[in-house]
Amino acid sequence: MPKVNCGRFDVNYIEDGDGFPVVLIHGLAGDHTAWLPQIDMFKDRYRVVAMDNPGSGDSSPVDSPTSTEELADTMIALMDNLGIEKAHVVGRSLGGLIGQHMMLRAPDRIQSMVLAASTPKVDRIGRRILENMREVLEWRDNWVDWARHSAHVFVAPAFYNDNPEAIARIEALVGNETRSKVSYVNLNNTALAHDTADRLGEISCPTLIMAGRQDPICSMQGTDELSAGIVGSETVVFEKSSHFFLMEEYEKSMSTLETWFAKHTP
Amino acid sequence: MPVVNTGRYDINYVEEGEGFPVLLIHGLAGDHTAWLPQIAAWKDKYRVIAFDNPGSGDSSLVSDPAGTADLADATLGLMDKLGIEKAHVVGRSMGGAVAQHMALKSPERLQSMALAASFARLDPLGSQVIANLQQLLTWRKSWAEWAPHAVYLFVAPGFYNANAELMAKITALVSGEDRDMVSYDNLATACIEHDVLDRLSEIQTPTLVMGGRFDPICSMTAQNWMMDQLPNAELEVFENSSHFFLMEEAEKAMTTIAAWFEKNAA
Repeated sequence: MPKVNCGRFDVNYIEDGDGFPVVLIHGLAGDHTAWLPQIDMFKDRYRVVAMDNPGSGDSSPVDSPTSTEELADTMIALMDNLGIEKAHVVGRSLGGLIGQHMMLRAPDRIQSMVLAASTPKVDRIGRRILENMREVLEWRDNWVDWARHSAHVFVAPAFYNDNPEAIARIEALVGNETRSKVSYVNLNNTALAHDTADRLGEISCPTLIMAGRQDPICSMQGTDELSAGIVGSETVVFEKSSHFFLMEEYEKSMSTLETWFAKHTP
Repeated sequence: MPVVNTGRYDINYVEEGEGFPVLLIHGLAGDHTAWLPQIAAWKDKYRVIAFDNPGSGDSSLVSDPAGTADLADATLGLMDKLGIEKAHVVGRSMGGAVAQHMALKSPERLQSMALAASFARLDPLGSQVIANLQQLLTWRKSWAEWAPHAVYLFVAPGFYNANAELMAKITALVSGEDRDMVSYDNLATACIEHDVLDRLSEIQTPTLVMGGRFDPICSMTAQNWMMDQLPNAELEVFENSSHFFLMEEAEKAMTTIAAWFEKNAA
């Protein structure tokens, strides 16, 4: 996989397919592989780019504090490097927080934005859960314990109970992490510090907001604030899902994205 | 408060009011005060009894492993001591597991049974969440550190976000516990090991099964498992709540249970 310098951070990315660009930004505890199903799905019609966020995968670590503004600049720099003038951008969780600042800082680069499991400001319960996750990592200093104490909030109860293999896969993936713990803690704090609540009115890009009804990390409170604050936005709620509705309600999420891209591609 | 010996355990209890007996059994991390609103609401029509489970409040410790069947024996022993032949039994969470053993062992003692956020067998998620909480306490040996990792599970995100003061108060209450940690550990194991799912078909006692849509501890999976087995049961779902729907949707819970007593009057 190629790596390019994007200012403070070197960014590792993959791209696949031809067509109008689609840029995929993963969340706090993921890396570019979070998007493999989407890359596979959309590469026949789009030029799909997925990267490891700073602090994740093979990109630079985040060994001192950063911000969602700085990470937004990093993503714009990646687009510069790849000669992408304009793209559909999809951000999940922390990726959606970054996406909000991309729209505020470089609206001309965003053909459309999808905010998946996102929020303008992490709400009380989301804050508590992120603090809990950070505490478990600090107390235990390993990803296995972190995974077992985190996996249950990512999916809705019925999904957890009905899909033991998927849960075991998630726990094994996260438990085998070699991710830098310092990077994780810095990014966790970055998510907690994010606040665009007073600036949503400045956003004019076509925006799709997707949320899981049962998500306690980015709950419906933040979703409702995004929907009300971003003029002209559309909102799709995944009733049976939590934070991982892209997996939990896979078909619905894929067809929602497919329709959205088709509608907004020039 | 009076304390009576029931064999293996001394039980601390309160009773108020006159009329047909209503016996209230609290959950794993509670004590009899969990029922103060219900005692206040029902004491004008019923003889309401609430008690500290073994291992909780001022009842005996659970210093050695015990099962939910042992707790059922203690509870039946309490009924003997109080001269209560038959009662409406209401159990929340672990208290409902205790009630099931009572109904299996001495069906003639139960006029009706209400199971609030309970389980006949924990589902994979519930089992993992209880094991996680047990593990956190073993790691940290501190109720103050444990509390924030537990309390967010008890209520739905909307309730948590909308009731900041109440959630802070609950967290502070749990943080200040002087509960015996060995008792908690033994009782958590009792929950994980409780399994009468294959025997529920023997229970003819009219049973009200109540579940919270967002509950990760006793999720709708566990509620549906019980409904599939119980021959004489009704299901009531609290759509906006988690494990604490008796508090989250207090009014609906009160009227549902009051109507249940009326319907199943002696």
